Amino acid sequence: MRIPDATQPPICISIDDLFEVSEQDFMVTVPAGWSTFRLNQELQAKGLIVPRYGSFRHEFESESPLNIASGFLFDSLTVGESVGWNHPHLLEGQHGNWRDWIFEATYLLASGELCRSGARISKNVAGFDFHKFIVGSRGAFVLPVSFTLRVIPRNSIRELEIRIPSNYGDFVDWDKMMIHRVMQTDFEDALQRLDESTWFADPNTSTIFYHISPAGGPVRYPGDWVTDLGRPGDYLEHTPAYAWALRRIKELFDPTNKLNPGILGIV
Amino acid sequence: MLLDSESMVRALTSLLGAEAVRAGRSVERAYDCDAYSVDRSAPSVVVFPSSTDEVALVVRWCCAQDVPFTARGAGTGLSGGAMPALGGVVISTKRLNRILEVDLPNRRLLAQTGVVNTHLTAAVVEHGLHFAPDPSSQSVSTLGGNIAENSGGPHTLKYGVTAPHILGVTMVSPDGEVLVFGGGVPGAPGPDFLSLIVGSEGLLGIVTEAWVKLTPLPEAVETALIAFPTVRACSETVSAIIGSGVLPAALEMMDRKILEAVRAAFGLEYPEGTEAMLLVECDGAPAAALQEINQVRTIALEKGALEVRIAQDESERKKFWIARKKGIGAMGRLAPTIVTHDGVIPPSKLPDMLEFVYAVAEEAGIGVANIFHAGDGNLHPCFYFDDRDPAQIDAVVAAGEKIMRRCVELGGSLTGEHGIGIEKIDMMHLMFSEADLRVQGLVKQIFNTGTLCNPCKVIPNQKGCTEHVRRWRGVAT
Repeated sequence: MRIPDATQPPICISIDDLFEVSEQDFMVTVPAGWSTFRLNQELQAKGLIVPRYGSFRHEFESESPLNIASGFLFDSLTVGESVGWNHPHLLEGQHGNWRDWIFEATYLLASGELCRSGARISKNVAGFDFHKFIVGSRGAFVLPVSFTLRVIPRNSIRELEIRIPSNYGDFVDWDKMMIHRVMQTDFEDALQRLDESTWFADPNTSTIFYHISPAGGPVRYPGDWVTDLGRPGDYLEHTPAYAWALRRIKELFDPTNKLNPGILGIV
Repeated sequence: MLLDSESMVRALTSLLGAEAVRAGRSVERAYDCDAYSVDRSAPSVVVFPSSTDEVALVVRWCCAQDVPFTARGAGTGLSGGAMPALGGVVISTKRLNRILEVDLPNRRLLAQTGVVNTHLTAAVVEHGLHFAPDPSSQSVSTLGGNIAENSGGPHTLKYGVTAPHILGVTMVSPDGEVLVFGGGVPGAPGPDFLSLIVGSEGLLGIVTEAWVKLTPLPEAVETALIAFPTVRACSETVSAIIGSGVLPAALEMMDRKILEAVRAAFGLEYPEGTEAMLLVECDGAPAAALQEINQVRTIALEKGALEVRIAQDESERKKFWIARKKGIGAMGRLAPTIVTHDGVIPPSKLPDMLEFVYAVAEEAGIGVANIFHAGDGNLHPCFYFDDRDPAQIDAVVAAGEKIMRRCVELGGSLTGEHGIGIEKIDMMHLMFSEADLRVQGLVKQIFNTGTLCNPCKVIPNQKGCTEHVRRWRGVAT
């Protein structure tokens, strides 16, 4: 299917018609433009949830700084943005992240063609998992239209084991939030070094959410990764093979560089 | 024109040494198919490299000489993925069999990809860890094969297929470059090439080493074997268990044909009048596992189960599992050849789908037995027949296509764990549009722009392949 150009009569598709929940099979198909908050509101009536912390926070003490932070970070994002950024979150140790939840995606290619990969089931190995690859791709290769996702019963979420410093809130500056994941063996050392910069930390995934000081970048550890929140990804580092492959996929999927040019450091 | 076999042997021997190169009639026969034996094509040479560099040397030589090459692990694949479709060189991973590093504190292990699946767990089980993917072939299938096919297994329902357990890979690209992806902490926010490489059926390159995730063994395991008087009652119980929100570690179903074969082979006992059985395993903290298995028992009895047996100790649990793990092997008593299909549907559609499978087999006049991962709707109808009779081969292929077509109509997939390979390449259009298949072709081109690396698999109508299809079919002797 092609998106019509201006000379053709308009075709209107109600994007809400894409929404479909299968309670028996624990999956939902949702338009990429819905907010994660709206998605989970719809699912709440059926006792289900996409287990992203920001949208689950209301189940916990609502005034905790962590909840306020998570709500700010995640609730307003659309599903498409949220998949595109693939931010770490606080239920990841229990229930994974977008790459674990996406069964199928439909998307527009730069050429305007509507395409799909995956299937509306939890287990499928037919063809390449391009729908999982586009997680975290920040709109560089395709424009997402809808996703079919795994959902879980709300009551299967366990209490969080998050470390929150007592002086939390003294130093909140959203523009300087960083997220750093290290090997389990480096976690305590990284926490100590970051010390007062730490907002909260998740020992299950050895991830630290912190506030970077103007003076220096993060201390790095072997095998770690670090990212900033919602900005162009200065800290996303690429090995030579990774950088080459990103460029290659951009050439193949978006040869005229229309989709979010410059993102992911692709030049 | 392809080099003759003798020239290939000479050249490859100069690269790897004589011990690592094999050719001749017996080699051609042994490597002309994997566990999917309907289609066959012989290689000219089989090589056994023992390092990433040696694999890269062979691949570069193949590219320079325009010789097709296909990687192969243990040859247990069920869709013809390791069949050398255009002949040439088979690159066996048999000698890539070393565990290179065990990092217990970070729960990960680095291994060459010829290591057998169960050997990974054996290396760490004394520390309370294991490699979770457990395909039925796990006692022989290799890590590389599991990566290529994104293998599942009975415990996929809770622990996932192979992909989430692979943290990084070293891969020889189709033009012989050594590429490294991942290997550090998982979950990096950017695009993850492992999503494409795991499950790529050897089309994007040859993975020679991989970091795998080690998962803690569960504290407690409760296993039940449940007998039902009808297949429908059994499959409705599956839907009811999944719908209740209980997430068993495994939820497996076997029908009467399988049970008869297992009883004859291993002495499994079950009540008179049993038409199907469920094997259900719940694990986790002791109280939670017990609570879940009791919930399962209640649901099963409500659905009319004849008997619910809960294993009282580890030896009884192992006995229960023999029925599941050896079921397909036991079917060897029924006919000379078995083709195991692999389709997926939403679990809620199981009752109707199974009735459809029996009807298709009856109409085709071939035998069928069902033993499969019911919890995630992953069907494995096993057709048993004699592949010396071309008419039976045609009937099996046609019946398989009907079943796959219905899986797709019900919103499912052509394959949940066996892959597309050569077996289902012509069915891809049932599931994907032309535009969808073009995307699949673009993904292949990221790494593989030529026609030499595992040719004629997964993506239909590839250049240089369609004219060979008839040559592969029905040459069993």
